[in-house]
Amino acid sequence: MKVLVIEDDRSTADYVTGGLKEEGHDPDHAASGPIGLELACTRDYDAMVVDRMLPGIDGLSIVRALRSSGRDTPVIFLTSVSGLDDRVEGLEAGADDYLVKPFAFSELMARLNALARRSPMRKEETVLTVGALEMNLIARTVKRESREIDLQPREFRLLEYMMRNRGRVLTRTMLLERVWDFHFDPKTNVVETHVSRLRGKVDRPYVTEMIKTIRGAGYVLNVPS
Amino acid sequence: MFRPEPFRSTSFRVALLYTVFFLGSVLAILGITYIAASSEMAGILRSAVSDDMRILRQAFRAGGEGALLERMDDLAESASEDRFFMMRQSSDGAAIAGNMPPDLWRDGWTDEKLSQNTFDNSEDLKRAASRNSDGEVLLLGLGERIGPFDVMIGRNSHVLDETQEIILSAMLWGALVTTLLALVGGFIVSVGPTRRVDEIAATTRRIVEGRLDLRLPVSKRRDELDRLATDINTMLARIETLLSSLKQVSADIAHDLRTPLARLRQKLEVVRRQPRSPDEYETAIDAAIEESDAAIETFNALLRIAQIEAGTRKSRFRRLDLANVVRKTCDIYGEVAADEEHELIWKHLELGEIEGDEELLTQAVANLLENAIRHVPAPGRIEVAVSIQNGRVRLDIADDGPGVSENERERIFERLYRLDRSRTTPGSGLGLSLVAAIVELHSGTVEALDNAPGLRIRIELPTAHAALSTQNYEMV
Repeated sequence: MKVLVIEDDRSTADYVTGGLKEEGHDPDHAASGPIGLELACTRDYDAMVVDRMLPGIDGLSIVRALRSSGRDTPVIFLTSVSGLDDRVEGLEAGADDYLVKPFAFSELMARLNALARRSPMRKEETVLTVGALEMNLIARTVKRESREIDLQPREFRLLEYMMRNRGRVLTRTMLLERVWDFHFDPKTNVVETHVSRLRGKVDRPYVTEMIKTIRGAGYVLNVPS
Repeated sequence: MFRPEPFRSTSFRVALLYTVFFLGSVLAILGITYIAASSEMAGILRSAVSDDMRILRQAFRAGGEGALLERMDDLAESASEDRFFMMRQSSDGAAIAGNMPPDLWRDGWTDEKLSQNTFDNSEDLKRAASRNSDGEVLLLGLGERIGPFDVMIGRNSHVLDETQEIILSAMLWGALVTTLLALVGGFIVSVGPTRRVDEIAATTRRIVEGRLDLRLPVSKRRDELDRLATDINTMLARIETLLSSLKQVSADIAHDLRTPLARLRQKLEVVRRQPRSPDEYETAIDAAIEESDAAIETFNALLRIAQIEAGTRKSRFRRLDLANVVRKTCDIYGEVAADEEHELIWKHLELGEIEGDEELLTQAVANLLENAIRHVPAPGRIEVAVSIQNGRVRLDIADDGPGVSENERERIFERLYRLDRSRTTPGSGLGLSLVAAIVELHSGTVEALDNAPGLRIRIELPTAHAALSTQNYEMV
């Protein structure tokens, strides 16, 4: 995956580009706003990691310029302050995701994966299928091997998010943001509790396990092999 | 350090300015009186003189020379040191009658100062002069030709002069006394306020030197200085609280962050001491990451609190139902609580419309629920209720756990404050401070109450209507 990293802080930039290379990706690095914007406009990237505060042109303006020129390259914002309003501002400017520094590389990687390979949303998509698991978004029913599974609304939302991102590792923070709309770190096992309940309904009665826990990283929904 | 300087005070300057205006008006009144009185008296003298002259003229016109002389005789009888007359031959200036020298005749009105040598042979003029300190006579006279004669009627206008002098000296004394009284009055009036301002200044200097516990003196008069002093005292109290909490927080942060850093360092040093297996390294690195994450988390929480306290977040306020926020959050935590064998009950939720930030309120409710879930020994019962009390929206989160002793109940909202018994459980000691900051942002109150047994956290927020009318609410 070709990733453009626009970040003026040397150590953060090295951390991100180094990590991407280790994961077998192909990062480009720009240390200032103008260079970053030029690269973003002239080359094709699968995703971009953009620092909020940059010399020359700030991150918000880069994303705005990019979006107004019709490019929809997925963008993840980085910020050093846990700005409460920054997230909303960033998303309004056209960014797709947001991370507060310092962050774990695994978190960034999971988010990049979720963004970069996102298949264009098909509006007419009413049924999600992963292996024998089938979700009807209109009737709001879930079946595995044709047997109906009764889910609570939030469990349904959780499973839907996992099915849409099948095969990708979803971190606890990603789930909290997308499924629970929590933008803080709970001190109790909110995610663990709900994932284990969902697992109890989706996996327990069956031989194979679809929802897997990746230790220290998150959860992934896979077709049982 | 009490050194009154009333002459430089505002009230003294005001008194002085007032004196100037007052003096001006006193002088104006006396001046008008002076002018009016002098012209009135001069007028009376002049009309007396011209009356006499008219009688002589008429007498001459009616009866010729004989009648004129007869009238002159009448005048001679009334002649005195104040009333003068004189008649001479126009042709040669020879005196015919009168009590003043014939060479004093002038045609028309004359207002003259007569010196000693001009009236050597006039007894009445001498007498008039002797009454005057400078030995001179002020003569107001009217000379006219009647037939072949030069006639002159005169008055001693010294009386007029005397009156004018009296009025003038009255003016002078009046001005002097007015000025003196104003100065003394101004001084007296300004001593009081000056002393109080000096006291305030002295107190302020001591506060600047670090005595933040001092307060400005407030008298029982409740005047403008007292109101100002009261407001300043309120401000000082607020500053003192903020400063002391800042000091406390800096010390606590330093302590709380040094501990995980020290542990981190120890762990790294232990693995570094001798070669170890990759597994051991991995474990050590994971532990190090975990320790630094804990420190980062504390920093993040502190920054978030600071940001909420800065108040900029208010721009995202909108109307919402607190009960709805609570319901959604309880829905999420119901199962978490059940996993810990607690019972979370949220049956009593009244519609509570407020102006607020849903994300922050959700976090506040979540923090409180998590606190209860983590600190109440299982199986516990956690009850959540939203109600309207006295026009405010009240949120109660009550548990039946061990509760918090009375003297600690206030302190649990302080940053990094942790009960002794929860020192061992993970947590930054910032959860409740964050709640307090969020409540403060919403112009509400939060308190810890005894639930007998257990802890009851009570939050009260202004209703949407009340929140709109408070002036610190900013429209989006």
